[in-house]
Amino acid sequence: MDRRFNPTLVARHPDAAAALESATEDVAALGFEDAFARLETTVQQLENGDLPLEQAVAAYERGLALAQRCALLLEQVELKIRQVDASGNDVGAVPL
Amino acid sequence: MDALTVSELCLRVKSVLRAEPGLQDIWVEGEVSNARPAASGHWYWTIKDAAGSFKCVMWKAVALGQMTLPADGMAFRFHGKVTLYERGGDIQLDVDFVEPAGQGDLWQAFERLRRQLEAEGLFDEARKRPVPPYPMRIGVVTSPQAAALRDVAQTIQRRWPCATVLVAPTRVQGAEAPAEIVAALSAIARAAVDVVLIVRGGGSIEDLWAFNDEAVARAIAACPVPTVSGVGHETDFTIADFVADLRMPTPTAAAERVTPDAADLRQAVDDLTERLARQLRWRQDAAGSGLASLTHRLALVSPARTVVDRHARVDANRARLKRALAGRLTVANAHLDGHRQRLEALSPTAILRRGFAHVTRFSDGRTVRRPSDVKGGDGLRIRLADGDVRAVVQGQTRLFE
Repeated sequence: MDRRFNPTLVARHPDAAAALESATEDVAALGFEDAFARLETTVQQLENGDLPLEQAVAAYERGLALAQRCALLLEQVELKIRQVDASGNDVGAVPL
Repeated sequence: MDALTVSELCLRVKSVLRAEPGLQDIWVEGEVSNARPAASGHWYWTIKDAAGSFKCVMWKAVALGQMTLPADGMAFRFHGKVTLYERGGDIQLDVDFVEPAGQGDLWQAFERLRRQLEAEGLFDEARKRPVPPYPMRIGVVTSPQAAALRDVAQTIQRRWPCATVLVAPTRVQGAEAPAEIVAALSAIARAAVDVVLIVRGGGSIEDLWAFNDEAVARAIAACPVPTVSGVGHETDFTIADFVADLRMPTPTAAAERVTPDAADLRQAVDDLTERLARQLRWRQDAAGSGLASLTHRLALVSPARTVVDRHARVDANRARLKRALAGRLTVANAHLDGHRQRLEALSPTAILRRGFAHVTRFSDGRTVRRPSDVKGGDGLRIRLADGDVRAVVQGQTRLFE
């Protein structure tokens, strides 16, 4: 992935390192509701607080990752329609 | 003898009708035809049998309180009184109660069950659960061949295609339907969905009768996830509708109600991204750096659009670019640089490469922002683009008072 800044530089600062790690790891697993809510709070944090430079960078990176996650989920345009059996297991596509 | 006026004739007929007890407070049964609501909301229809027909009217306020409304081709029983409507000179039955004919027993059973479940609290508002706002797994209990499922699928495809629709197939009318609906509800609950739609298209009272079944009602009430019913037409109410967490008038309306509009959400994400970028841009400007290409940054975050949005997207981007360009002019020392990639200019590395440094105290890593943060002899770590330099404070000068 095209990194826009040198991660090792940021990683040397403890707060930014943690933020960067959490920015890349758990975002990929978030559902839309969570990703969107966290994107909103991140933007609000940047707009409200006087975040110092390193935390602002981490917040920006995290916000960008969250926005990309939201956009990725919204890019899905092919609805999956599946039939289930008595146990609730997926047994195939439903022809419509 | 003087001739009567028309109004006088009408009044005379009206009083004769009113005075005749056999025409007030009567029940009439017949087959309905030409039933329709007027723009006013009042209902008009004709009832007939082999030898006669009679006009009927039901006022809007009365119609709203009915459990069922007259439908063409079916037999109904009506309670009301015979009146004359002077304007048109029509003698008609002014109806205050409608019930299907030949189904007295069915309706009694329906009423009994309805009252019993209501007394048990199964219809209580307090037990109704809210529908989740962004359901990723949507269960549907319906007949897989019916139009209702197609309508639901098309609606969800249009609004919220990132979800997965899971169908528990069942017959939705006939004697076997109630048991199959109960089994389908059980299956869909095991499929770990976020919400369940229970839907079928319009039909006669007999067609919808499975949704008045007691076992079906109890299965809906026992469903571990929120249930939304969309059974029949707007005017049809079944016990399933009363017991579900939410009742919608049609299957399509049910699908719309449980899904957000992805187009709106894309816009919201774009707006948040813009605010995000603006924050960092202001920070860069404060540090004296250049501006980045707004569209380039947005393109990185919001890749390929759906075909449906393409035109709106082009217009929106054009407008955004216009606004961004207007914003640029207000910033001092702006450099316009065509199509060069500007994103890199935002990054801390680029700032550092220009000679700015991130200075921290060597002892505790705290960022140094002003001369008073350090004293003579303190160790400093100066972070440059490619590495660190260690230094010792020799003295301080304040730039601004």
